Amino acid sequence: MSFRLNSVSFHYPGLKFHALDQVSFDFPAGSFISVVGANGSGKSTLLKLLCGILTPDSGSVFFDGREFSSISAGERAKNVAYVPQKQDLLFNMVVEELVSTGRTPYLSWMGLLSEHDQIQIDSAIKKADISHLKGKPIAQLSGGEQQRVWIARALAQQAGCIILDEPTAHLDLKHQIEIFRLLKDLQIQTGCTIITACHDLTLAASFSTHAVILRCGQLYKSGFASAVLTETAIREAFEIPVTIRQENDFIHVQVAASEFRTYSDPMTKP
Amino acid sequence: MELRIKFLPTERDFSQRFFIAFLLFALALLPSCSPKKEVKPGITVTDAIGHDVSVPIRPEKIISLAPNITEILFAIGAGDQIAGVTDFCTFPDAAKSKPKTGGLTNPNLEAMLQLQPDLILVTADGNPKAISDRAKSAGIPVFTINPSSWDQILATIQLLGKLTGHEIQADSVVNSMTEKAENLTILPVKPSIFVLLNEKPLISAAKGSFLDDILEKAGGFNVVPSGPERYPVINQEGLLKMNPDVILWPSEVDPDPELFKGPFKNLKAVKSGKVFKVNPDLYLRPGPRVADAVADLNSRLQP
Amino acid sequence: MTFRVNTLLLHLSVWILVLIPVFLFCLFVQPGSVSVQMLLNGFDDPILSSILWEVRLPRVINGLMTGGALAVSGLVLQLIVRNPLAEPYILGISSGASFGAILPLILGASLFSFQIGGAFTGAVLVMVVVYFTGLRYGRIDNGRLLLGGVMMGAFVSALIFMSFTFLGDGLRTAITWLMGNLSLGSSSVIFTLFPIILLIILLVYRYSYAYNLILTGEEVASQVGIPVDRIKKVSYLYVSALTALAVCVSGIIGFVGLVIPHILRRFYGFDHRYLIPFSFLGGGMLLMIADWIARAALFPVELPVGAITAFLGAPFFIALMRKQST
Repeated sequence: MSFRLNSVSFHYPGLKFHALDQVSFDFPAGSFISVVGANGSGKSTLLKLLCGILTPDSGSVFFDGREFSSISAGERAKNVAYVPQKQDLLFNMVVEELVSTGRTPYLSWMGLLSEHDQIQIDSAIKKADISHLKGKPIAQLSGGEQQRVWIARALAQQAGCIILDEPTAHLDLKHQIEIFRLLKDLQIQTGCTIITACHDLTLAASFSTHAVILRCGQLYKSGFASAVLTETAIREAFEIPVTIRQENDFIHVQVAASEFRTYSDPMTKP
Repeated sequence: MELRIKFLPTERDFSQRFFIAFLLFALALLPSCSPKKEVKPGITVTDAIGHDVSVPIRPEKIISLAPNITEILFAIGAGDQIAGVTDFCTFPDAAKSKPKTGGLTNPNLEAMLQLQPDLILVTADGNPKAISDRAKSAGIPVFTINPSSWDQILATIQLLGKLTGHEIQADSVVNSMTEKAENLTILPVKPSIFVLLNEKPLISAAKGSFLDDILEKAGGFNVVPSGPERYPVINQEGLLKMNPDVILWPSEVDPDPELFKGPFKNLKAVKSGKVFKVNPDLYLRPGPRVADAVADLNSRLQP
Repeated sequence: MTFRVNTLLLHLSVWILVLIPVFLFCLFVQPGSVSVQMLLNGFDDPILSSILWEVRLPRVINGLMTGGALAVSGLVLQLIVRNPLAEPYILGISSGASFGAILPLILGASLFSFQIGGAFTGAVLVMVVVYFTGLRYGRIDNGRLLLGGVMMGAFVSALIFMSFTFLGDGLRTAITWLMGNLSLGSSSVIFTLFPIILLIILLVYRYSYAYNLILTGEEVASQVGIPVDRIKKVSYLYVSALTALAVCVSGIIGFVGLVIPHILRRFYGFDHRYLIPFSFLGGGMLLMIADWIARAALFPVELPVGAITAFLGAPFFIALMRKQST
């Protein structure tokens, strides 16, 4: 699923400043795109515009050459899926129930599942590797497991593109890597376009094919990840100097040592 | 002296603390500084709720907090001794020109006190206890009456005659009431009567109030059994089952016509045209005019 | 509970099988009055026939439809405003209806048709005001809707209490509105309203799956194709209509709308495809039984039905909660 943004601007009603100001970029199908930027730079807003939750004030969003505003919400939902940040459910659904809600664009008003729907749900559960969690209520799962359930839901939507808002923000190291590995597998094996907002620049740099840096609602840089996530770009966008080094396939983005002032802190001495 | 109050006492603070203590002491004395009323010589009478009330010998400024009390006072010739009445005291005409003190459930204490009454007459259930208590603490005697039967109404009239110095007139009122209630045509049968106080929902008067005596003296009886509530909500089916001979509707307006279109069109009283709109002031006020109610009802009940 | 149409139909049959005897019991049994036998034998007698068709039948049907309407209103409302403590009266509609019913009494027009008309007008006015208060940039804001409803309710309640000063004789009638009474509606009113209420419930049922999704999150639901804001607005309309109709005919009967949804959720979980029909039936049965007690305890004197629903519902709910936590 290829994506194109054409000079998209958006502001939240009641707030004067633009959350996003004339952002344009485009990406080919099957890419893994990281959206990075400081807090408040407009990442969440951008993602919501990309999946249809918000409508731009001006400019347009295209996927596969089709303009968002020209297709129905249901049609959109069959093409783009959204995985929210940690979601506090009002109640305790069972894993399969939550995954099955991903099939909504294909269902009638009563939400009855056909055999085909059931097949898609089971396949999504398998792909997200949560078969062993079937039957468990969501609230009993760990953060990482819950995130995979939401990803399975997005898979059940059979969308060509999955958009995730900081999927690893609340996860520990192990789960962070697990989630990114899962997403990367999806991207490579099924050709699904992945767009994810990400705080962890190391993960972003290691897994993405493309990247977008946002700064104060404006596009700072976009393009191939290796071209965008450079020391200079990051230092200017985040105002913190970093060092980047590559180790095999893994790229480490680290805060420059000079940022840590040496204190003679008696507490650190044994 | 600083005005800031310090928490930790020092020598200089003693004067401040004395001042505060003095202020508190003075405030405590204030209530007893209200002007003392002249206490008129009086007699002690026990009222209907068991309180011993010191009633002045000939009260000149009576406040009546209920329409039936007003009617009684005027009937026994004590009308000139009335200083104030309620908004609902509409009988006799002379009552309408008396100063008003508010409603039944919410009489205005200030309006009452301004009239400088020497006696306040209240009913046990119609007036709020709070007002009685506050008037009492203002030094005014409050006398409660509670006539819940014919005999008690007569007794109350005589009692008020005694209190206001109109015993002879009170006796003659009682005599004429008794005469009116005895000068009646006997009815061949004793009809069952339902007193309808509200249409939707049905509200009636249960057995146990002075209304029973009115109904019985007129030759009928109350069909609603006695119960916990004086004016209970009655099940529609209950009315159908009781199927009274007569329905009384004490009101100045006609009842909701919709009432008699539905299931009640089959009631005996409706079919035989014995639904009577009657003067509520005669039937619902335990005062001198209940005798007129008896006579009125008796004539309506004639076959 | 996972949803299967077969399960829905099975449970529906069971509920109806339980409803039928309860309905017949409430219809035919009235301690202190004519016996069941007399009723069954006395179809010719106009009085007995009156009792059955014009007093009891409308009353029991009123219990079913009002209890059901309030329960479903409470259920949907708790979902829309995302607050488990919401109940149909929290939006102020009941106060509006009550004041609308009491106003004619003050103005001296005590005909019951004026009271119903006034009640409906009052309910609609409050509904409109609260709706526009709850809008924020064209969309419904849950917090504002709730606050607007509570404030309007408080304001109109204050008007009601002030009006007591002017009521005099009408006070008893006014208080009965506030306590609820299922016999106020005539048979023609009840039989007209019953299909209307059923229709609205069916319209609400169309949204049952959408409600499930709204529970998973408003944004995710809208992303997956559900028109969340439109559904909230239309649901608000349905809830207000159901509540207004219920209050206009029967006065304020509290507790059903708050507690029945909670009790049902303990048994059925959160799938509204089950919750909506069974809340209707559960609320209807609770009110029918409560009304039976209200008229059976001290026949011919009636107790306020709103108090009975609380007496029945609260301990049951507490017992249920305790059982769950052990």
